[in-house]
Amino acid sequence: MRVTLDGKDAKVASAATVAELLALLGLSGEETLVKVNGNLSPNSARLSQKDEVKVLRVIFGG
Amino acid sequence: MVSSKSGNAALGAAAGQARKRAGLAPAAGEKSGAGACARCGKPAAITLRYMNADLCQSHFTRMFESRVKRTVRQYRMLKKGEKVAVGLSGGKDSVVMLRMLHKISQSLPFELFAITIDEGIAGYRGKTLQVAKSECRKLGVPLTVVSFRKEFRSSLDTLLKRKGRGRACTYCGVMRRYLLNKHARKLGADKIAIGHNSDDVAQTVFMNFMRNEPERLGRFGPLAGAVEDAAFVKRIKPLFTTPERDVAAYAVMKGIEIKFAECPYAALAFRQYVRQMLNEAEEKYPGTKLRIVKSFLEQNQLMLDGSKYRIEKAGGKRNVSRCASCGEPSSGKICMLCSMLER
Repeated sequence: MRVTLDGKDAKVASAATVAELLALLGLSGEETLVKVNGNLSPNSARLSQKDEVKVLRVIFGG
Repeated sequence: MVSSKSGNAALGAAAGQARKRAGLAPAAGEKSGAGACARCGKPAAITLRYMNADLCQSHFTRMFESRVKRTVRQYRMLKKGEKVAVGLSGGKDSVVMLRMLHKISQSLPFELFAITIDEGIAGYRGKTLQVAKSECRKLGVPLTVVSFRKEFRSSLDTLLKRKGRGRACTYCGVMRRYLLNKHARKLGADKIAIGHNSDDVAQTVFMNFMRNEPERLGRFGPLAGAVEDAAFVKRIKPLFTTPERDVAAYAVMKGIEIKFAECPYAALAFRQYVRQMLNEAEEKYPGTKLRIVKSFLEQNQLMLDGSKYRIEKAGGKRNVSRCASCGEPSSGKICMLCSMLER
């Protein structure tokens, strides 16, 4: 599984779901959106080794 | 553990009732299967924990647009034929708000234009300024860019080298509000639309409590802002009841060009502390931030009935003079901006 966080590659052990992936990255689901293979996906979406996952941090100050 | 479980069960029951009222199917992952839209059963695009539901892109965007339109209607933010200045930073909130106002203007004709304040923040504002320009071009909305450098002969970065970075948001906030009001008035605006979302609202409520600023809280609201005076353009906040993450999701779903970047001074602000605190609470108790906003709206109304702050909310009775230095409206001889810059 290839995971990018804010456009940079993130090293993470494989995760079964989006929620699990966010927990492994130490990120809050309240501050992020996750795209799996180009599509926004809910926390319960299941992940496989072939997936390309993009994590976007979207809650910012300013 | 036991009390926590029973607490969650109670919250779950309440959420279930809310879901029924909203015409939602049982919670995501129960009947319609994990990752399915609670309204149509198609693959979901987003989890909204505050309403205990997953939604597909189509139902999310419909819900999002309805909520913004409902808020605009409920607080009578817009009238036919008005001139509305959008405070457009080029960040996700103001860009999405501009899109929504532009959409509304197709059925309720009013004039829309945008004002962008360029504070002069290296590596940050330049990027969002490009987004603001490109969005206005796409929508055919006139844009006026006003810079600190031209108006105050100093960028924010330069000013803070003298004043210290610690109070960046205080200076920037006062200076931006001043310029936005001044130029909106010059351009003949009846209203200024500000992209405050419900996260910002919940933070502001907490900040005012923590600083013991009841008068500010009394003036705060979906329509409020400064006291009423001909020199102050009225403010409206169409995203007042819309969570920040929803704004970002809408932008991504609609393919709106957004730079997800943080202002380099944001980490220094008191607001950042409150933001983190509330986001932690939201993570643990979903719906907390929206409940704060709802609670504020209810209590604010109760507080204003018969309180000393009512006069300002009702408008017109507080003395607003003109600043002896710059001529802009002020409660004292010298306005906040001029006294800050003189210090």
